Amino acid sequence: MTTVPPLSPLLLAGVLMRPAPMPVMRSVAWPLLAALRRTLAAVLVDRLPYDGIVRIEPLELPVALLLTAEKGHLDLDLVAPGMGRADAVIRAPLDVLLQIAGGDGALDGDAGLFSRRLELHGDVGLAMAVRYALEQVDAAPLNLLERMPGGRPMAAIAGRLAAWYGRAADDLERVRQAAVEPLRAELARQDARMRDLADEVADLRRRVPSPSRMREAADGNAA
Amino acid sequence: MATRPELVCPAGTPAALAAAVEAGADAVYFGFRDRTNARNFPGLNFSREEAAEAIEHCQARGVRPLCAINTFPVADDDQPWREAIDWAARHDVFAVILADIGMIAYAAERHPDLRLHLSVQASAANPEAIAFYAETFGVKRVVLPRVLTVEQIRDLIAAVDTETEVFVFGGLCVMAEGRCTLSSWAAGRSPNKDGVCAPAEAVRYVQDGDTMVSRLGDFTLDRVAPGEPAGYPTPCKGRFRANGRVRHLFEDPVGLDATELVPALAAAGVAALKVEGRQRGPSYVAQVVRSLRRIVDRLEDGPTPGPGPTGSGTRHLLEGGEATTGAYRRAWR
Repeated sequence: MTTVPPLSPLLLAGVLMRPAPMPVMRSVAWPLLAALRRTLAAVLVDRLPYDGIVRIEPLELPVALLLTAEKGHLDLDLVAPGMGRADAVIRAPLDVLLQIAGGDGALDGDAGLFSRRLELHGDVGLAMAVRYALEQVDAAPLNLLERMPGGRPMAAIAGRLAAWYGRAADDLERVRQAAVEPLRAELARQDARMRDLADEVADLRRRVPSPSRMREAADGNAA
Repeated sequence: MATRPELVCPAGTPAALAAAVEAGADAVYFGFRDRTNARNFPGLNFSREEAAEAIEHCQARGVRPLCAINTFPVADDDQPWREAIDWAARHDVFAVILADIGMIAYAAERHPDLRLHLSVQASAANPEAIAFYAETFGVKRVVLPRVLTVEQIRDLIAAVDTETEVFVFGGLCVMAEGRCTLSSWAAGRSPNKDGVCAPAEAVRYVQDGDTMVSRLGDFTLDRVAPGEPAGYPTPCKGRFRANGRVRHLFEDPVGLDATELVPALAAAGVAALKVEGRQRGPSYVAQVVRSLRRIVDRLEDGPTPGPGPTGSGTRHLLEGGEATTGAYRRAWR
């Protein structure tokens, strides 16, 4: 279910971020938001069917990205998830959003929707226009950082953090699997038992005539 | 040995076009940001400037740019289609993909050197129809509707002189191509004239607990339970109550994956293999095109027409996460 964030280092990071005041998070994110706004504005303005507000909510984080398009002008801001008016809301795990925004992941927007890893609410047309614009500008944070003035060192650091994140995610996945293993084993036992029961029912149905066939047989005997 | 068919790949954005070219497409098809093509979605498609750059990008890399102008104009408003054809001719696209017979006639008369491909939307599925378009207008290639078996395609190719192109991967339409009126009835806009099966402004997704409800206008198309994959919000893929049962009445949400049939289609004489998906992102295009490129290139290596690899490793990208070979094999019978 997409509204439950996956257990990951990002989720833990999100929990740690919660006490931070929104103005602090805004100032930390400001250079990246400015870079994204510059690249996105030129592409998005031509693609939008009309003005509107789109909120993009990574499940793990206590912040959401708010895109406001009005009269040919684009504004980006960070807000708390669920706060403020939005004509469309896109909600997904952060790695899914990054795959879609970066354009080189395993998923695109449609695949995210098919697999139920991405939720769309509200004005689908607006959300689609934003999605195609993000794909067009290749909005993965690493790529944005590289394109920013003086961004290459930060991109290099982010790249090393990404490698660390991969290892941390693998470790956390092992912990998760260990934690749910008793439940998984019990579910597997129940699943096997239900399959056996289904086979028994199918076998009984084959052997016991249906009421309609019994009636036909009775009518035939009477005749 | 089967000849190597051309790989024709979709591009809904310049980023997707670049991905297709880099992944090994032989040709890329795109449309303009208006209702002259059958993927008229918000934010999708090319402005005239982007299209010019796209054509240049393709030509610089030996890839053929094809321009899709494949919807049907209304009787009193065909100017956008004429202008699109004129623009494409002036900018040296390799071919235009047309569906409307009036626009085909216009293109043939006004631009006799412009190569014409017949869109799948024209639904030409027999030798007589194909011969008519070829002899009357000089159509050079026909995209076959997805209703023929491989054997029927083989027999049809033997009976015509025109090149044929078939879909091998992507979304699947079960209706008569270019004739569906389901969504125009439901949402007031036509896939054939406006280029939208489910106009975005009429689509809504609503979470009902863990169940995702998809709606098109006043109609509920589906209630997708937790863990169930979803499909496009189109009437043909919806679930409806009939005779007391709720089920897919027209089609399950599945996509076409005819990868294993590529050798057979090549042996049948198909000139081009087409990937559906101008509405899809660069990652879909890159993965699918790379996979098909490997398969098509292997056609030169060994005997045919034995089956190719089952599955392309790209099924997770398909609607509903499920694949079918559709009418090519009619496995449901």
